[in-house]
Amino acid sequence: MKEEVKAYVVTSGKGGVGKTTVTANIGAALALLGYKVVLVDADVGLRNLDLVLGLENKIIFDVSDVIEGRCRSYKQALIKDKRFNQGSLYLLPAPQTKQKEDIEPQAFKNVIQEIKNDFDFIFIDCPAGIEHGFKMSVYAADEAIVVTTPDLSSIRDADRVIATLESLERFSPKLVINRLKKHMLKKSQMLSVEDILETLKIDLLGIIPDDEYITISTNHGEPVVLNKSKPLAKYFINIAKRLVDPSVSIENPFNDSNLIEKIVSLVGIRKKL
Amino acid sequence: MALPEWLQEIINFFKKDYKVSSSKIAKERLQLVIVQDRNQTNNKTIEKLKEDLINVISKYNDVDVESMDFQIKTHDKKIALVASIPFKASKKNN
Ligand SMILES: Nc1ncnc2c1ncn2[C@@H]1O[C@H](COP(=O)(O)OP(=O)(O)OP(=O)(O)O)[C@@H](O)[C@H]1O
Ligand SMILES: [Mg+2]
Repeated sequence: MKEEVKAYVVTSGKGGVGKTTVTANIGAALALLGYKVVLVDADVGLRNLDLVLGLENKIIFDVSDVIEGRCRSYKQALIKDKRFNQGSLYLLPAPQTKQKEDIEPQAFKNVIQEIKNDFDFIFIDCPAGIEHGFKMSVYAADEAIVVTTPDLSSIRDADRVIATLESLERFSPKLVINRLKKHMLKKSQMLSVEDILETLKIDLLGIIPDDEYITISTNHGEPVVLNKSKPLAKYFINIAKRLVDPSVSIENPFNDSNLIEKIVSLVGIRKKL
Repeated sequence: MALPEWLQEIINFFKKDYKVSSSKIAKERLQLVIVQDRNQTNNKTIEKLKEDLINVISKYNDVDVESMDFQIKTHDKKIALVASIPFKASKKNN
Protein backbone atom coordinates (compact mmCIF):
# COMPACT_ATOMS: atom_id res chain seq x y z
CA MET A 1 0.00 0.00 0.00
CA LYS A 2 1.11 3.53 -0.69
CA GLU A 3 2.48 5.45 2.27
CA GLU A 4 0.45 8.44 3.35
CA VAL A 5 1.22 11.36 1.05
CA LYS A 6 1.94 14.65 2.76
CA ALA A 7 1.51 18.22 1.63
CA TYR A 8 4.26 20.55 2.85
CA VAL A 9 3.75 24.27 3.18
CA VAL A 10 6.93 26.30 2.62
CA THR A 11 6.61 29.49 4.61
CA SER A 12 8.68 32.22 6.26
CA GLY A 13 6.77 35.25 7.45
CA LYS A 14 9.26 37.66 5.95
CA GLY A 15 9.31 38.07 2.18
CA GLY A 16 12.20 37.41 -0.14
CA VAL A 17 14.05 34.91 2.04
CA GLY A 18 13.97 32.10 -0.50
CA LYS A 19 10.65 30.22 -0.15
CA THR A 20 10.14 29.94 -3.90
CA THR A 21 13.77 29.02 -4.57
CA VAL A 22 13.70 26.35 -1.86
CA THR A 23 10.33 24.97 -3.01
CA ALA A 24 11.48 24.69 -6.63
CA ASN A 25 14.75 23.01 -5.77
CA ILE A 26 13.53 20.57 -3.14
CA GLY A 27 10.78 19.55 -5.53
CA ALA A 28 13.22 19.16 -8.40
CA ALA A 29 15.59 17.18 -6.17
CA LEU A 30 12.81 14.76 -5.20
CA ALA A 31 11.87 14.37 -8.86
CA LEU A 32 15.50 13.51 -9.60
CA LEU A 33 15.35 10.90 -6.85
CA GLY A 34 12.46 9.32 -8.74
CA TYR A 35 9.42 10.68 -6.93
CA LYS A 36 6.28 12.19 -8.40
CA VAL A 37 6.08 15.76 -7.22
CA VAL A 38 3.60 18.62 -7.56
CA LEU A 39 4.56 22.18 -6.65
CA VAL A 40 1.57 24.38 -5.91
CA ASP A 41 2.00 28.13 -6.13
CA ALA A 42 -0.21 29.79 -3.50
CA ASP A 43 1.14 33.30 -4.03
CA VAL A 44 -2.04 34.63 -5.65
CA GLY A 45 -1.38 37.74 -7.74
CA LEU A 46 2.39 37.55 -7.26
CA ARG A 47 3.29 34.16 -8.62
CA ASN A 48 6.94 33.38 -9.30
CA LEU A 49 7.38 29.66 -9.02
CA ASP A 50 6.62 29.40 -12.76
CA LEU A 51 9.50 31.75 -13.52
CA VAL A 52 12.01 30.03 -11.26
CA LEU A 53 11.12 26.72 -12.91
CA GLY A 54 11.18 28.19 -16.42
CA LEU A 55 7.56 27.16 -17.06
CA GLU A 56 6.04 30.64 -17.30
CA ASN A 57 5.11 30.35 -20.99
CA LYS A 58 3.12 27.17 -20.62
CA ILE A 59 0.44 28.30 -18.22
CA ILE A 60 -3.16 28.05 -19.37
CA PHE A 61 -5.13 27.21 -16.25
CA ASP A 62 -4.43 27.96 -12.63
CA VAL A 63 -5.62 26.73 -9.27
CA SER A 64 -8.69 28.97 -9.21
CA ASP A 65 -9.74 27.57 -12.61
CA VAL A 66 -9.62 24.15 -10.98
CA ILE A 67 -11.65 25.26 -7.98
CA GLU A 68 -14.24 27.06 -10.05
CA GLY A 69 -14.59 24.19 -12.50
CA ARG A 70 -13.22 25.98 -15.55
CA CYS A 71 -11.11 22.93 -16.31
CA ARG A 72 -12.07 19.28 -16.33
CA SER A 73 -9.81 18.22 -13.49
CA TYR A 74 -6.81 19.55 -11.65
CA LYS A 75 -4.68 17.53 -14.04
CA GLN A 76 -5.59 19.83 -16.88
CA ALA A 77 -4.03 22.74 -15.00
CA LEU A 78 -0.79 20.92 -14.18
CA ILE A 79 2.29 21.84 -16.17
CA LYS A 80 4.82 19.12 -16.65
CA ASP A 81 8.49 19.89 -16.36
CA LYS A 82 9.86 17.82 -19.22
CA ARG A 83 13.43 17.86 -17.94
CA PHE A 84 12.62 15.09 -15.47
CA ASN A 85 11.99 11.59 -16.66
CA GLN A 86 12.62 9.10 -13.84
CA GLY A 87 10.44 10.90 -11.38
CA SER A 88 8.22 13.75 -12.41
CA LEU A 89 7.80 17.40 -11.55
CA TYR A 90 4.57 19.34 -12.09
CA LEU A 91 3.54 22.90 -11.36
CA LEU A 92 0.05 23.98 -10.37
CA PRO A 93 0.15 27.75 -10.95
CA ALA A 94 -1.44 30.49 -8.87
CA PRO A 95 -3.84 32.96 -10.50
CA GLN A 96 -1.84 36.00 -11.50
CA THR A 97 -4.68 38.46 -11.07
CA LYS A 98 -6.03 39.03 -7.61
CA GLN A 99 -9.57 37.65 -7.62
CA LYS A 100 -12.54 39.54 -6.27
CA GLU A 101 -12.96 36.81 -3.71
CA ASP A 102 -10.05 35.15 -1.93
CA ILE A 103 -9.70 31.46 -2.64
CA GLU A 104 -11.77 29.53 -0.13
CA PRO A 105 -9.38 27.51 2.10
CA GLN A 106 -11.59 24.42 2.12
CA ALA A 107 -11.81 24.42 -1.68
CA PHE A 108 -8.03 24.79 -1.89
CA LYS A 109 -7.55 21.95 0.56
CA ASN A 110 -9.88 19.75 -1.48
CA VAL A 111 -7.67 20.21 -4.53
CA ILE A 112 -4.58 19.31 -2.50
CA GLN A 113 -6.35 16.22 -1.15
CA GLU A 114 -7.19 15.14 -4.67
CA ILE A 115 -3.58 15.54 -5.83
CA LYS A 116 -2.48 13.25 -3.00
CA ASN A 117 -4.16 10.32 -4.74
CA ASP A 118 -1.82 10.56 -7.71
CA PHE A 119 1.51 11.87 -6.38
CA ASP A 120 4.21 11.26 -3.76
CA PHE A 121 5.02 14.79 -2.62
CA ILE A 122 3.19 18.09 -2.66
CA PHE A 123 4.78 21.43 -1.79
CA ILE A 124 2.81 24.63 -1.37
CA ASP A 125 4.81 27.80 -2.01
CA CYS A 126 3.25 30.18 0.48
CA PRO A 127 3.10 33.96 0.04
CA ALA A 128 5.01 36.18 2.49
CA GLY A 129 3.12 37.42 5.51
CA ILE A 130 0.54 35.77 7.72
CA GLU A 131 -2.60 36.85 5.90
CA HIS A 132 -5.12 34.92 3.85
CA GLY A 133 -2.69 33.18 1.50
CA PHE A 134 -0.68 31.94 4.46
CA LYS A 135 -3.74 30.71 6.32
CA MET A 136 -5.08 28.97 3.23
CA SER A 137 -1.75 27.23 2.56
CA VAL A 138 -1.38 26.15 6.16
CA TYR A 139 -4.96 24.87 6.27
CA ALA A 140 -4.29 22.61 3.28
CA ALA A 141 -0.91 21.33 4.54
CA ASP A 142 0.12 18.43 6.75
CA GLU A 143 3.70 19.50 7.37
CA ALA A 144 5.50 22.84 7.49
CA ILE A 145 8.93 23.95 6.33
CA VAL A 146 9.98 27.36 7.63
CA VAL A 147 12.66 29.20 5.65
CA THR A 148 14.81 31.86 7.25
CA THR A 149 18.00 33.70 6.43
CA PRO A 150 20.47 34.56 9.20
CA ASP A 151 19.10 38.13 9.34
CA LEU A 152 17.51 39.36 12.53
CA SER A 153 14.23 40.39 10.96
CA SER A 154 13.86 37.13 9.10
CA ILE A 155 14.49 35.07 12.24
CA ARG A 156 12.10 37.19 14.26
CA ASP A 157 9.34 36.73 11.68
CA ALA A 158 10.11 33.02 11.50
CA ASP A 159 9.52 32.86 15.25
CA ARG A 160 6.06 34.40 14.82
CA VAL A 161 5.20 31.92 12.07
CA ILE A 162 6.47 29.00 14.14
CA ALA A 163 4.37 30.17 17.10
CA THR A 164 1.29 30.35 14.86
CA LEU A 165 1.94 26.89 13.44
CA GLU A 166 2.59 25.36 16.84
CA SER A 167 -0.58 26.88 18.26
CA LEU A 168 -2.52 24.79 15.74
CA GLU A 169 -1.11 21.70 17.47
CA ARG A 170 -0.78 19.62 14.33
CA PHE A 171 2.57 20.84 13.02
CA SER A 172 6.12 20.37 14.13
CA PRO A 173 7.76 22.77 11.69
CA LYS A 174 11.24 22.11 10.30
CA LEU A 175 13.74 24.85 9.56
CA VAL A 176 15.72 25.61 6.42
CA ILE A 177 18.44 28.20 6.91
CA ASN A 178 19.11 29.90 3.59
CA ARG A 179 21.84 32.26 2.41
CA LEU A 180 24.49 31.54 5.00
CA LYS A 181 27.71 33.35 4.13
CA LYS A 182 30.92 31.62 5.01
CA HIS A 183 33.18 34.66 5.03
CA MET A 184 30.87 36.50 7.43
CA LEU A 185 30.47 33.51 9.70
CA LYS A 186 34.23 33.20 9.95
CA LYS A 187 34.48 36.76 11.21
CA SER A 188 31.48 36.27 13.53
CA GLN A 189 29.54 38.88 11.60
CA MET A 190 26.55 36.66 11.14
CA LEU A 191 24.45 34.49 13.38
CA SER A 192 25.55 30.89 13.19
CA VAL A 193 23.36 27.84 12.64
CA GLU A 194 23.66 27.06 16.35
CA ASP A 195 22.62 30.61 17.32
CA ILE A 196 19.53 30.40 15.11
CA LEU A 197 18.51 26.95 16.36
CA GLU A 198 19.01 27.98 19.95
CA THR A 199 16.74 30.97 19.37
CA LEU A 200 13.96 29.31 17.38
CA LYS A 201 14.09 25.93 19.12
CA ILE A 202 12.91 23.83 16.19
CA ASP A 203 14.43 20.98 14.22
CA LEU A 204 16.79 21.75 11.38
CA LEU A 205 15.95 20.32 7.99
CA GLY A 206 18.83 21.78 6.04
CA ILE A 207 21.27 24.58 5.29
CA ILE A 208 21.73 26.38 1.98
CA PRO A 209 24.75 28.64 1.48
CA ASP A 210 24.46 32.01 -0.18
CA ASP A 211 25.49 31.53 -3.77
CA GLU A 212 25.39 33.70 -6.90
CA TYR A 213 24.60 30.61 -8.88
CA ILE A 214 21.01 30.82 -7.57
CA THR A 215 20.56 34.06 -9.49
CA ILE A 216 22.11 32.60 -12.61
CA SER A 217 19.96 29.46 -12.52
CA THR A 218 16.86 31.60 -11.98
CA ASN A 219 17.88 33.68 -15.01
CA HIS A 220 17.78 30.49 -17.03
CA GLY A 221 14.64 29.16 -15.37
CA GLU A 222 16.47 26.04 -14.39
CA PRO A 223 16.51 24.52 -10.90
CA VAL A 224 19.99 24.38 -9.40
CA VAL A 225 19.78 20.63 -8.82
CA LEU A 226 19.66 19.97 -12.57
CA ASN A 227 23.28 21.01 -12.63
CA LYS A 228 24.72 18.44 -10.29
CA SER A 229 28.28 19.60 -10.84
CA LYS A 230 27.46 22.77 -8.89
CA PRO A 231 28.32 22.37 -5.21
CA LEU A 232 25.05 24.05 -4.29
CA ALA A 233 22.97 21.19 -5.71
CA LYS A 234 23.94 18.79 -2.97
CA TYR A 235 22.36 20.89 -0.22
CA PHE A 236 18.95 20.74 -1.87
CA ILE A 237 19.38 17.05 -2.63
CA ASN A 238 20.31 16.52 1.02
CA ILE A 239 17.06 18.15 2.13
CA ALA A 240 15.10 15.99 -0.30
CA LYS A 241 16.77 12.86 1.04
CA ARG A 242 16.04 13.92 4.60
CA LEU A 243 12.37 14.29 3.76
CA VAL A 244 12.36 10.72 2.53
CA ASP A 245 14.49 9.42 5.39
CA PRO A 246 14.90 11.64 8.48
CA SER A 247 17.94 9.63 9.61
CA VAL A 248 20.03 11.02 6.72
CA SER A 249 22.46 13.48 8.29
CA ILE A 250 22.55 17.17 7.48
CA GLU A 251 24.93 18.44 4.85
CA ASN A 252 26.62 21.31 6.65
CA PRO A 253 28.61 23.57 4.32
CA PHE A 254 30.46 25.15 7.22
CA ASN A 255 31.33 22.19 9.30
CA ASP A 256 35.10 22.23 9.04
CA SER A 257 35.48 19.51 11.62
CA ASN A 258 33.54 17.32 9.24
CA LEU A 259 36.14 17.99 6.61
CA ILE A 260 38.91 17.22 9.07
CA GLU A 261 37.13 14.02 10.02
CA LYS A 262 36.98 13.04 6.39
CA ILE A 263 40.67 13.74 5.94
CA VAL A 264 41.50 11.82 9.09
CA SER A 265 39.44 8.87 7.95
CA LEU A 266 41.13 8.95 4.56
CA VAL A 267 44.50 9.01 6.26
CA GLY A 268 43.29 6.11 8.41
CA ILE A 269 42.44 4.11 5.34
CA ARG A 270 45.85 4.87 3.92
CA LYS A 271 47.54 3.56 7.04
CA LYS A 272 45.58 0.32 6.95
CA LEU A 273 46.62 -0.17 3.34
CA MET B 1 40.55 68.51 11.83
CA ALA B 2 42.49 65.33 11.35
CA LEU B 3 42.97 63.08 14.34
CA PRO B 4 46.47 62.14 15.40
CA GLU B 5 47.53 58.88 13.85
CA TRP B 6 47.84 56.99 17.13
CA LEU B 7 44.32 57.97 18.13
CA GLN B 8 42.98 56.88 14.75
CA GLU B 9 44.67 53.54 15.24
CA ILE B 10 43.00 53.04 18.58
CA ILE B 11 39.65 53.96 17.07
CA ASN B 12 40.25 51.51 14.25
CA PHE B 13 41.11 48.84 16.73
CA PHE B 14 37.79 49.27 18.48
CA LYS B 15 35.91 49.54 15.21
CA LYS B 16 37.35 46.21 14.23
CA ASP B 17 36.40 44.79 17.57
CA TYR B 18 32.85 46.01 17.06
CA LYS B 19 32.66 44.13 13.80
CA VAL B 20 34.10 40.99 15.29
CA SER B 21 31.45 40.68 17.95
CA SER B 22 28.53 41.88 15.86
CA SER B 23 26.96 38.44 15.69
CA LYS B 24 26.99 38.35 19.47
CA ILE B 25 25.18 41.67 19.62
CA ALA B 26 22.74 40.43 17.00
CA LYS B 27 22.01 37.32 19.00
CA GLU B 28 21.39 39.22 22.22
CA ARG B 29 19.09 41.74 20.56
CA LEU B 30 17.24 39.02 18.69
CA GLN B 31 16.61 36.88 21.74
CA LEU B 32 15.33 39.87 23.70
CA VAL B 33 12.89 40.97 21.03
CA ILE B 34 11.66 37.43 20.51
CA VAL B 35 10.93 37.00 24.20
CA GLN B 36 9.01 40.28 24.05
CA ASP B 37 7.07 39.13 20.95
CA ARG B 38 6.17 35.86 22.60
CA ASN B 39 5.10 37.50 25.84
CA GLN B 40 3.05 40.13 24.13
CA THR B 41 0.75 37.59 22.54
CA ASN B 42 0.61 35.73 25.84
CA ASN B 43 -0.20 38.85 27.81
CA LYS B 44 -2.95 39.85 25.43
CA THR B 45 -4.69 36.50 25.64
CA ILE B 46 -4.33 36.41 29.41
CA GLU B 47 -5.81 39.87 29.63
CA LYS B 48 -8.81 38.79 27.59
CA LEU B 49 -9.19 35.55 29.46
CA LYS B 50 -9.06 37.44 32.71
CA GLU B 51 -11.94 39.69 31.64
CA ASP B 52 -14.01 36.75 30.46
CA LEU B 53 -13.38 34.83 33.67
CA ILE B 54 -14.34 37.78 35.82
CA ASN B 55 -17.56 38.15 33.85
CA VAL B 56 -18.48 34.52 34.22
CA ILE B 57 -17.59 34.19 37.88
CA SER B 58 -19.24 37.48 38.83
CA LYS B 59 -22.56 35.94 37.85
CA TYR B 60 -22.27 33.72 40.91
CA ASN B 61 -20.09 35.63 43.29
CA ASP B 62 -18.47 39.02 43.67
CA VAL B 63 -14.85 38.82 42.63
CA ASP B 64 -12.10 40.66 44.43
CA VAL B 65 -10.55 42.07 41.28
CA GLU B 66 -7.74 43.84 43.13
CA SER B 67 -6.21 40.74 44.60
CA MET B 68 -6.58 38.40 41.67
CA ASP B 69 -3.51 36.65 40.35
CA PHE B 70 -3.02 35.09 36.91
CA GLN B 71 0.10 33.33 35.77
CA ILE B 72 1.09 31.24 32.79
CA LYS B 73 3.33 28.44 33.91
CA THR B 74 5.13 25.85 31.86
CA HIS B 75 5.56 22.34 33.05
CA ASP B 76 6.78 19.38 31.00
CA LYS B 77 6.35 21.36 27.78
CA LYS B 78 2.72 21.96 28.71
CA ILE B 79 1.42 25.39 29.47
CA ALA B 80 -0.99 25.98 32.33
CA LEU B 81 -2.94 28.95 33.53
CA VAL B 82 -2.69 29.25 37.27
CA ALA B 83 -5.34 31.59 38.59
CA SER B 84 -6.23 32.74 42.05
CA ILE B 85 -9.60 34.49 42.10
CA PRO B 86 -10.61 35.52 45.60
CA PHE B 87 -14.28 36.33 46.26
CA LYS B 88 -15.31 39.43 48.09
CA ALA B 89 -16.63 38.69 51.56
CA SER B 90 -20.35 38.32 51.05
CA LYS B 91 -22.39 40.85 53.02
CA LYS B 92 -25.54 38.74 53.11
CA ASN B 93 -23.89 35.93 54.99
CA ASN B 94 -22.33 38.17 57.64
N1 LIG C 1 20.91 30.77 -1.28
C1 LIG C 1 20.77 31.87 -2.03
N2 LIG C 1 21.86 32.52 -2.51
C2 LIG C 1 21.73 33.61 -3.27
N3 LIG C 1 20.56 34.18 -3.61
C3 LIG C 1 19.43 33.60 -3.16
C4 LIG C 1 19.47 32.42 -2.35
N4 LIG C 1 18.19 32.09 -2.05
C5 LIG C 1 17.40 33.00 -2.66
N5 LIG C 1 18.13 33.90 -3.33
C6 LIG C 1 17.60 35.06 -4.09
O1 LIG C 1 16.78 35.82 -3.25
C7 LIG C 1 15.68 36.34 -3.95
C8 LIG C 1 14.36 35.97 -3.29
O2 LIG C 1 14.19 34.57 -3.38
P1 LIG C 1 12.74 33.91 -3.49
O3 LIG C 1 11.94 34.56 -4.55
O4 LIG C 1 12.94 32.44 -3.54
O5 LIG C 1 12.17 34.34 -2.07
P2 LIG C 1 10.66 34.24 -1.54
O6 LIG C 1 10.76 34.00 -0.09
O7 LIG C 1 9.91 33.25 -2.35
O8 LIG C 1 10.11 35.69 -1.85
P3 LIG C 1 8.57 36.19 -1.72
O9 LIG C 1 8.33 36.38 -0.26
O10 LIG C 1 8.54 37.46 -2.48
O11 LIG C 1 7.71 35.11 -2.31
C9 LIG C 1 15.77 35.83 -5.37
O12 LIG C 1 16.34 36.81 -6.17
C10 LIG C 1 16.70 34.64 -5.25
O13 LIG C 1 17.43 34.42 -6.41
MG1 LIG D 1 8.01 33.45 -3.38
